[in-house]
Amino acid sequence: MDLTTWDGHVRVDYVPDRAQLQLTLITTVPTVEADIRPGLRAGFAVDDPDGPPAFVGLTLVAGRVPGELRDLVGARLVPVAEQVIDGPRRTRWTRIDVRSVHALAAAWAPYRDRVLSGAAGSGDGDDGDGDGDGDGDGGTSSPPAGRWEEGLWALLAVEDLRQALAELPAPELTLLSSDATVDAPGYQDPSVGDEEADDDDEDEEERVAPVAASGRWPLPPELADQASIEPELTWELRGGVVHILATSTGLATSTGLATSTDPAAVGSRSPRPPQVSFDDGTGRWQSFVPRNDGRLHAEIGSSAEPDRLPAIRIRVMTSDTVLP
Amino acid sequence: MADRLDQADLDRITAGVEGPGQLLDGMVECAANVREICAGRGRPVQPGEVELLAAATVSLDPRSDGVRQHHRAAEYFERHRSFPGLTAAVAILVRGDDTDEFVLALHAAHRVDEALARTRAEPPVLRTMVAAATACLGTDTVLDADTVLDADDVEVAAAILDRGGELAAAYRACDRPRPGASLPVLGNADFVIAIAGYARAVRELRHATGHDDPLADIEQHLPDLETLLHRAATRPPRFPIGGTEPDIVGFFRVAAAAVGGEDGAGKTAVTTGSVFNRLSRGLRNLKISGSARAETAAPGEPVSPRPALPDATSAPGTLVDADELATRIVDLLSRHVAGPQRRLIADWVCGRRAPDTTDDLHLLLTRVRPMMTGLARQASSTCPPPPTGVPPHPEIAEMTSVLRSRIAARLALEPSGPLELAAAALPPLWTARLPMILALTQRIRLDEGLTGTRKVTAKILAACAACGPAQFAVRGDVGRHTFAGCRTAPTEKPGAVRCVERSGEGMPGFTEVCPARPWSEIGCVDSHRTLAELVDSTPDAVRKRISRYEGSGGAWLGLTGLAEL
Ligand SMILES: [Zn+2]
Ligand SMILES: [Zn+2]
Repeated sequence: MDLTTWDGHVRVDYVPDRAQLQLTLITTVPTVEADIRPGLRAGFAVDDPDGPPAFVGLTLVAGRVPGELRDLVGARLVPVAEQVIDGPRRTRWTRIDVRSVHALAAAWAPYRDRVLSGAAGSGDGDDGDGDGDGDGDGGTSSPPAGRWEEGLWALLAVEDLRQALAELPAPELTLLSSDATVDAPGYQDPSVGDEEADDDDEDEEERVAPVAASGRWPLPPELADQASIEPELTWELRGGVVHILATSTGLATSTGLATSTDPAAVGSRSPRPPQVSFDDGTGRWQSFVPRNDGRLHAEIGSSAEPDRLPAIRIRVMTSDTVLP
Repeated sequence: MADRLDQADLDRITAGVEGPGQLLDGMVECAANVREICAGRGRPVQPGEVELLAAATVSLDPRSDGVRQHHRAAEYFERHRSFPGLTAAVAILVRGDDTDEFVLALHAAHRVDEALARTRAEPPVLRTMVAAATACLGTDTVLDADTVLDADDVEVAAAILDRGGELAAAYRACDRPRPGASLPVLGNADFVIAIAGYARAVRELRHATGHDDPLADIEQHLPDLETLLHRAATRPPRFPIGGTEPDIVGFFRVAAAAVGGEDGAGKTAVTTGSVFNRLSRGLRNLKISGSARAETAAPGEPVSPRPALPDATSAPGTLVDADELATRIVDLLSRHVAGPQRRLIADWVCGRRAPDTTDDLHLLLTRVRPMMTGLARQASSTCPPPPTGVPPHPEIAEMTSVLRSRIAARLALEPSGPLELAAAALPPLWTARLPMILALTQRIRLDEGLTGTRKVTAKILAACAACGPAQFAVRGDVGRHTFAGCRTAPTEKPGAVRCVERSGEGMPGFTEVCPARPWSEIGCVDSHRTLAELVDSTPDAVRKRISRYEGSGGAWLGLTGLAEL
């Protein structure tokens, strides 16, 4: 008789005053919630590491569910959301089946991981420690992949980037200030130093901006596999811009297109390059572009203060998914 | 007449008799006596009152022995018929000491609840709370004529549902205090706020609002509501069901009372809580239906939760008669179940239930399991005769007919064994196994009160329970199949993968373990090894967790046995 989020009872509400759309998968078990970023709040059942969001509150943009969130909310619930946005009834219950709940759970996995681990970290500390992390730069445990439509996405751990930014001298603080004077790199990873010199020769924009900081981000193996890249990204902070490098596993060509024509490979090998974006709600995705050395390169910037730097997302879409 | 009873009623009544046949005899005898008594009083039973008469032969008075007290039954019948339009469904919920006012409220609430169920998508528990609150609105309050003059109860209830939802959402959207910090195993902010929204909507209807600002009013009432629900959720269950499940029934009753009346106190609130409680009795009994217990065994045999793996080589060759097999399946599925449960089973078997929902899943799975055990025994020659003296129910006939034609159609295509035929003939309860395992995990965790490190056990049990009619979880350190036609995904155990979807032609062998078998496929779906990968454990630890659970006597026990490969 008690309710779990898997029972699929969803209340969809629109609150015009706040331009807020809410999804509530009603449950009688405790949930924990957090602000993902401005305009997006999500809650999850505390004891369900596989579960869907129990609550989502999102701010509409121009009266619409922003495109990237449409994918996360999913084809089952977007039409209901549009009904309540159009009114006049601003609240509506609907029932979704277990597969739709599972689709939500799969799509929101990276946010769930973040919200639930945030709760564990600040909580009563009864569960000892997590699985043993590696030491040092960037951590070694890979984040979970989220599955939406025909693609995968993940949240990258940006704590090291935030920290690097905070340690930089004042002029570097604002990302995207392209003519910032760079004199004292706060941190340099020796392991990428040599490669760096090569890169500078190839890219005149980068030549004027030495590496101020760098590090590595592990990727979900599943996502890396689908993108045909090694399951680890290298990031470099240069000239106020975050440069992200991926190493192709050779299954994709230098144009980013898979050579396989085997029908069985469709859906498991992406002909599209992965993309990155700050998770700031703007939905501006930057595609990785192959460089001459065979590595894939993307760069993104944010005007946010270092301590408020949004998380970074990476996604890979399969061939039959149309990118916005 | 047993159609009007749910499992708990039937269990209570049958406890004193030898079997359904004797029960029915008793009820018939009682009804005849009531007819005689009424005729003697000059108020003979009318043709339209037969259902009420049947209901009166079963009293809900726990002190009553049920069927033998003819005069008491006559009193009940006389009383029930004095309420115009009272249906048997409500009559069996009425107790001897209920006031007239309460019976009327119960009657109205039931009508509103049924009407709402046809047009609204609220979860039944919230819908029934508001139906109860609506029925109790008038008992101590004069409503605003403008609001309700033309509106029928059902419209009032719908308005409360809409207004309550709107208020809950508005409250959520602003930066007001969020309840939930003190709520234990049960209860979360959104549930509390939903209740608070409905309660405010009811106060508005009764002009009993303390504030003009509805959100400030809700904020002011939240702490009390939270305290009440917290107390209800931490109280030990009044009727322990096994496990450590908190008293969810008491929790909801308190919530209903809060919707119905000022801060859950006062006469209206108490009445609302009682009406809700009475109406939702069927709901809760379905979940804990005693059917998990003992039904896996034929009379005289020990209860064995461990299904026997059929002989794969001989099964497909068995000569099967569609008629006999359909009869046997229906008998195994519906033996000893009461009316409401039988209707749910028939809805499923006849294709009126959508797959991939959690509704009644426990009930249906607990029917599938004894069926597969029975069929796997290859005992089709010893098909038991139908129970004596009981005319076949329309649902039984319908199920048998539907299954017969499906089985015959399948047999026309290829010779198949009884289990394969049953699996092909019974509509799928799920179209993908993994999502259902995850859904069942949460259900089992709550049902059995599995917390802390025992949460892992819930997922293991869920995977054991999520077996199609011809599917088996098996014991032992047996790895996934070598068959190539499955799409896999990573498991919790680093490096291991698990089948999530069939992507290629063909199917793995019967004894090969494939966690992604479609519902109708015959074969093994999980093993100690694949379960260990699912939860990042070891086969031995999985085995220990299952046997520890087997010692607990939980409600999912009959569903979680593993076969010997
Ligand atoms: Zn008050
Ligand atoms: Zn498989």
